[in-house]
Amino acid sequence: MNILNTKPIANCNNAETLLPQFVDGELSARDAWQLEKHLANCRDCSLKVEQLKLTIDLLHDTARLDTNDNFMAKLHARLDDIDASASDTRTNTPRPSLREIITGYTRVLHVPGVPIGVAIGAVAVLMVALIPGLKTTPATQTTAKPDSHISTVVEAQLAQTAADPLGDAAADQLVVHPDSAVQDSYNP
Amino acid sequence: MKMSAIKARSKYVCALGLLPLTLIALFAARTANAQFRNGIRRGHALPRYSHPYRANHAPRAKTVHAAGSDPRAIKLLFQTFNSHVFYSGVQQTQVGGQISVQKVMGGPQGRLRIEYVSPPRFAGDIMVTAPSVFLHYISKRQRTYVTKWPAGKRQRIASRLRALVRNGKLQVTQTGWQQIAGVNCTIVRLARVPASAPGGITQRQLWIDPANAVILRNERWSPSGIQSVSYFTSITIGAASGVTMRDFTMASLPSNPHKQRIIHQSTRVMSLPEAEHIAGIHVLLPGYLPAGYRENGVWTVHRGRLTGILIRYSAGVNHFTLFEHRILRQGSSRPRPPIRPRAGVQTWRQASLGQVIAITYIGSLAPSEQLTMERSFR
Repeated sequence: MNILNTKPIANCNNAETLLPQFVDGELSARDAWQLEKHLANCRDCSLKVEQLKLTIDLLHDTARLDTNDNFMAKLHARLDDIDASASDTRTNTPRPSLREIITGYTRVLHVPGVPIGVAIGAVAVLMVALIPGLKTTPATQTTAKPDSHISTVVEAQLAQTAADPLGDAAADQLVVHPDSAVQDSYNP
Repeated sequence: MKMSAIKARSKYVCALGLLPLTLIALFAARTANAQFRNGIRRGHALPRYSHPYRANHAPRAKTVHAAGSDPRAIKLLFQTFNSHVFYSGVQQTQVGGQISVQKVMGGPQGRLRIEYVSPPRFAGDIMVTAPSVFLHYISKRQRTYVTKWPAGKRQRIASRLRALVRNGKLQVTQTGWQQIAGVNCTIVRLARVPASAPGGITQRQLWIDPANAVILRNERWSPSGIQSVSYFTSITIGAASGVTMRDFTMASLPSNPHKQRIIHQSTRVMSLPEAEHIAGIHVLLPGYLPAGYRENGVWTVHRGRLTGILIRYSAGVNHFTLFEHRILRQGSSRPRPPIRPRAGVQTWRQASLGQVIAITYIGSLAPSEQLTMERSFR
């Protein structure tokens, strides 16, 4: 190399650029001799040479994977297709927005767009309010009407009995709700 | 034979003699290690104890010994608390002249589902008891009442019973055998033992299926006699019952768009002053309590604007409850329903430190005892 011809390998950076050619045996005798002198004094560069040689040996030992004869032809065809669809996407016009659709219809019908939108909204609100089937009723809801205090304490008492392994909630139910209709004697 | 050859032969004989001994020692060591692996000797029943390292997570069946009680009856009684069988059947309940019929399903850890068949006022109602919740679906009101309690409540009640038996305050005895719904049952009697009555005052009589630890008949007694009885008229125990864990969930209750779910939160508090502070009322206590009854716990009950105090009094395994809350509005223009006498529930009003307190009694005391207690509040 010209560099090596003019000046000897002074640092590792210069040597590193020549290492692949050195390993492949492509350097001139003079350059190889100068590089060998550097490697003799530089442990880092000599290690790099060793690693490079090992890597090349490993690659040589790896089995080759043969492909079909038409592999390259298929690959190029697919790449061409991808390129064509990408260009198609770029050339297509973007989807119209909702506002553009409405504007288009109103132009066709010769009516202004804002009143149409307000009318549609009002109809939707009326449908939800008037048609009972459209109302969303939760399966369970907290009570709106306060329950009587006695019902509260009766339920608490039944629960206490139910938690007792020797309790008889069925008997308690008859005790707290006797034959007369269930009515609270006191309801503030 | 040369001496050196004899010496060498004797060495081989010794080595061969030691070999079987070594093998026996190794085998013994291995067997012992296997037997005591995890601290449990094999070949013996695993202790019933909830421990993370052990396969059986059922609570330990503590041995309870008590003077005057029958150990077999005690064992059978506490086995019913940990029964793991599913069963279903038809149960009849009688209180005084009233009768109700229910379809009953049972499951592990005290799970119970009661579906009312009669009388007509209860028909369609369902009660579901699960380990930490009580669900009560009332068909006519289209409401489901949900009462939650902390996990382990059942175990705490069982522990209290154990303590009563161990202290000799509750006597558990086996009084005989009888068939209930075609199942041979052991009759177990629970009696409170006050100093005045060494023979005990019967509080419960239970007919227990010893094979499955299921109570098939439950009689509740007071000093004046039998108060209530519930018993199976037919029962199927095991997989044939068709009961599943789903039967003890909210999802199993009838779905209705108008269903209202009412949750009562009851919290046990340490003392009455603490409950008074939470509820903001001055509690009135009865000056007279029927024989053997004492305060067994105080809870605050919250629902909506209502915060009340629930005090439970117990004598052995019998209880009654007082619920007190401040009257928020007086002189309501709404006409009150007529007051009907109800033996199990009574409501009284009392003035207390400028407030009017409503006291609700729920229990099965004799009318004379109720009246005496009503007059003794202060």
